[in-house]
Amino acid sequence: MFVPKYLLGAGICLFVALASIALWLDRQGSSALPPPGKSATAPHEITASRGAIYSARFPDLQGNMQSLGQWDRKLLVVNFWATWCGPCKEEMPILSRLQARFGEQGLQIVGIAADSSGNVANFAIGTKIGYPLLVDDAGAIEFSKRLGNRLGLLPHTVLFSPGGDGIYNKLGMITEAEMSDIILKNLPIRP
Amino acid sequence: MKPVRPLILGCSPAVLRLLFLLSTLAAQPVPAAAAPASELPIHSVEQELLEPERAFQLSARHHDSQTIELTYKIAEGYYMYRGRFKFLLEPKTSGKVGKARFSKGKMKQDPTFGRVEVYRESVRILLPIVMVDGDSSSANSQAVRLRVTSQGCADVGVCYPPQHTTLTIKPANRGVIFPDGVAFPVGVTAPPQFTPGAAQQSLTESLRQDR
Repeated sequence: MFVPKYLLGAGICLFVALASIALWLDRQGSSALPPPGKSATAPHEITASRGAIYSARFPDLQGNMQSLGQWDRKLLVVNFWATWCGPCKEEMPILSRLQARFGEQGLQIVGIAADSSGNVANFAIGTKIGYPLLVDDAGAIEFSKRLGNRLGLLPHTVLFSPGGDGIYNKLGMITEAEMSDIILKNLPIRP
Repeated sequence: MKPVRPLILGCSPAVLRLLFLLSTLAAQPVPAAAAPASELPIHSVEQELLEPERAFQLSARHHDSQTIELTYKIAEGYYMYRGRFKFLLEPKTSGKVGKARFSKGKMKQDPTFGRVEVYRESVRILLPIVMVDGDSSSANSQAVRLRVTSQGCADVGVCYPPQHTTLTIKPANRGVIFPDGVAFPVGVTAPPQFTPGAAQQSLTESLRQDR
């Protein structure tokens, strides 16, 4: 069958163009993954989608299940910690100060402890903590791992915009300046 | 006459420019605000934190007929908490773990627990294992497992979750710690029917990681 050369050329061009656009759209659908390498902390599994964290539920210190979905309109900071983790306890006063400073502008900090409720309750007696604490000895680490914390290390802090998009993911101790900067840029109610 | 520009992949230069633009856009990272959390690049205090089994390397050998010696080699920049070690025999009916003796660590001030002992570089633990007296053909011929729980942190400011390692203590006729067919009543020293070297090797070989 005879096909004119210019038609064949246009066909190839159209195919390449469509393939390129498909590739670009696919890239948009995925995201800014860290460069692959030997980093032990690189996220390895992509499971969550926008708002997926709101279906997560953890017991509070009274044993009542609390859903993260109750804070779906807040700028939500989820902080994974444990009483056996020294660095975690060191950064808790910073988190309390941030909650006091930005709470009225829509910030909500939540601590999820990979610990026993007894340990956390004892700790909470002697320490002033300005945000709710949830407790799940095994589940907290598993949830933290699903958010990219491959080794389940603590502390681990993740920020979510209202609606449940991840904004910032930090392994290790936070600093007040670092957190204030990101919180100020993402508060639902401008100060 | 106007020169004819060659077509690449059948596309005109204008289309090629558009495709090039698309390819450069595809190479750009998507703004983080649009990404679900698990896809977010994780900002870490340290890019190359060791896997726990490399940060805290466990080896085991037979210290004497009733004592297992555990040694953790701790990587530089990492430390372990004395109060976070736990030892458990499985099945529980097979015997009991006596009071562990630890090498001397360093005291550290903890805001919750007060002064706590931590180890750097290494920690050596002597662990008496007392097998339940009973039918030698059953209790001591079955494999007994010692479950060791440990926990440590890195100086950069992160802590590892508790790590569980299981050592398998096999019957002696298969070359491990307890001589075959010998019951271990509480307080009775087992006959020295094994060679420490062989015991050490076989115990090390039988290390089972159950993470």
